Amino acid sequence: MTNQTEYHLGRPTAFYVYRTSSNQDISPSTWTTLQFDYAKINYNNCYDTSTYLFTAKISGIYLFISEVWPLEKITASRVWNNLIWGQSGSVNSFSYFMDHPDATFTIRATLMCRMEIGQTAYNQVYHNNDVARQIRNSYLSRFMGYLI
Amino acid sequence: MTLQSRYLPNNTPCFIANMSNNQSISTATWTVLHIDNVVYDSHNGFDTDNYKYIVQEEGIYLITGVGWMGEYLAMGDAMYIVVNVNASNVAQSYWYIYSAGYPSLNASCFYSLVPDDYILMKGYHNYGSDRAFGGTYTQLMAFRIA
Repeated sequence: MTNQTEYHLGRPTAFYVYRTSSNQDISPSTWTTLQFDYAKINYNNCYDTSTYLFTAKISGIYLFISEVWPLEKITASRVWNNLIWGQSGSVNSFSYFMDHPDATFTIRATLMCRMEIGQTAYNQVYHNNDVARQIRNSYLSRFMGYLI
Repeated sequence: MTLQSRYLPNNTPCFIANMSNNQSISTATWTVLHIDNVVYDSHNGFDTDNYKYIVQEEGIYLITGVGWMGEYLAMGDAMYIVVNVNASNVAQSYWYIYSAGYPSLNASCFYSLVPDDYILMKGYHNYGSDRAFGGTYTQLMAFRIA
């Protein structure tokens, strides 16, 4: 029996994570990995809540979804980005929001890609406000994925 | 019996439902959205009288709510949607309006469900007087992933 078959039999690959510690600070103009430290669902321990990486233990097509809630508004014409990386940083899907002039909202990104065993996926955000901003904790900002 | 039929999910139970008509919501009041039109329901779990899905089979589900404002909100207003499981909030999204418009929001999560759990969606705005969530494009859906 291969490792892949062993992992797969009757045990799906899926994770759903968010952050239970305080809101996460995001420095200006810095791509920052979101530190989801609580796994509500984590089959096969595929998501590591200390490195914030999903690691594929089965090859296949995966769907990843991120929905993040910026706590504070940013200056007009500045941007928020939400980015999901797959294949250990080789592919990504990206959502972009420019404040106009003084607003914010939940930013959603979706990525579907093939993952080989050992490849990682993770979620990053970016803004270019003058000062740091925060992403809300709890289920208000969340990252999930599963083998489809 | 093949490996696939025994072990791989077929993504059911599954349902897709929406609001058949606009629904007026009082300002600053969380309100159950009247999801009353079933587009697809593999296991006949949707209760259109009470606007909620009653879980028929245990499993991990991907749940997605989509809320659309059918009437404009003004700059400075906020709009929220939240997905409820058994009266607990499990996924919430919001939009702080930057110019008058008709925003749409998604709120998704994975959730472990057992029979008789229920799923519904609530909406909120603070326009200052009644505003309607839009029919057709305000939707609730879920399918089992594991």
